[in-house]
Order: sequence, then structure tokens, then C-alpha cells
Amino acid sequence: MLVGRVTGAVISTNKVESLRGTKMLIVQPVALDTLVMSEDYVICVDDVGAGLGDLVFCAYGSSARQSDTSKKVASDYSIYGIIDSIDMRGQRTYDKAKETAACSWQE
Amino acid sequence: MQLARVIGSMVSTRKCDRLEGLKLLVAVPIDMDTFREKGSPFITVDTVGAGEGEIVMWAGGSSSRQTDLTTNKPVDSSIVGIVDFVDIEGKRVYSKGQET
Repeated sequence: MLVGRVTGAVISTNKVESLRGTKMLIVQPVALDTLVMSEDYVICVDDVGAGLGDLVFCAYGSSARQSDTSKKVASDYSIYGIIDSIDMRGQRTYDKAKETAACSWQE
Repeated sequence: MQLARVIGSMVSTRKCDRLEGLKLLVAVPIDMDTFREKGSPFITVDTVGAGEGEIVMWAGGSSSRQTDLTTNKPVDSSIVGIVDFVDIEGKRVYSKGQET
């Protein structure tokens, strides 16, 4: 499952019918061990109401169409969760409650 | 399939309801030559009760949904087995519990 930061949105009015009414967010992958955000990005259909700066996880390919609201959508990447915390090797490496630099890339 | 070691877990309360009850673990790929961790950690769904520190086998893509727990769920990586032994060219390169 891809983990990434929501850093923007894509608006398209002239698009396929199955994407009508979907929110398309820009997600930039984040390395789990360093929490450093990479330069590349993915456009994901939002399925859980994620917002700018949220650390989210996404599913790819046919797995991106496995929910009631995304099953017929022309999308190969969908956001399926907002991350509360990550523990690695016995340490809490990410905690949404203590997040201060969620939109740090805008500074 | 590929091998990885489970090194942690992730919590998400605001998620797709079909993911309710699934354990989301953090694993890091294992290099088969050295049996050391190599590469960056990733998120995978546990379907076999894997614990931290264990070396597991995981499947990606739609194959990750071919289990009772993950059928028709938005999952693109699942742990499908906990590894006991690995033999390469007649040599036992890994035994669970007797790691160097």
C-alpha cells in the first residue's frame, strides 16, 4: 500500500463519466523510515475525505476500485485511509496528533 | 512473491469501511543473498497473524486479494505466509528462530 502526503488537487471538467463527482488529489509518496516526501506524485481518487497535508495510504490497480464508492471509477490509484500513527522497531515514528509540519512543503 | 521482515504496524481509524478489522503492518524487504533487510519499508495487510520480527512472504496486486480476509477489499499487498525455512542450492540459508 502506497503511503504519501496529499499536496494538491486536480480539477477536470471535461472527463470520463465514471470520474464525475470524484475528488482527485495529488499524493506524493513518503518514505516510511525517514518520512521524507519524494518529488514524484500520483493522482488518486479520494475515497475517505482526505485533505491537504494528510498522510494517507492508497491502493493501486484493480485494488483501487474495491469500495462501494470507487468500484466503477476509471482510476488506478485510490486513497483508502488517513494514517493516525506508525510504529517501527518499537518506536512511534509518526503520530498525526503530534504533527506540526503537515504542510511544510508550502513554507 | 517476495520475502520481507515485519518491523512494525500502522493505525488508521479513518479508512475505507471494508478495511475495518484488518491489521496493517510495516515490513521491509529481505535480500535473499544476505538475508538482511534491504530497501525501504512498506505497508502490507496481515492475513496469517504475522508478528514483529518474523520473515514473511507477501503477494501484490490482485493476488493480494485472493485470501478470505482480503477478498473484494482495497488491498494491493498482503502477507500470505510466515517463512519457516529457505533452502537455496541445497543449502539451508534461513531457519526461523535460529537467525544469526
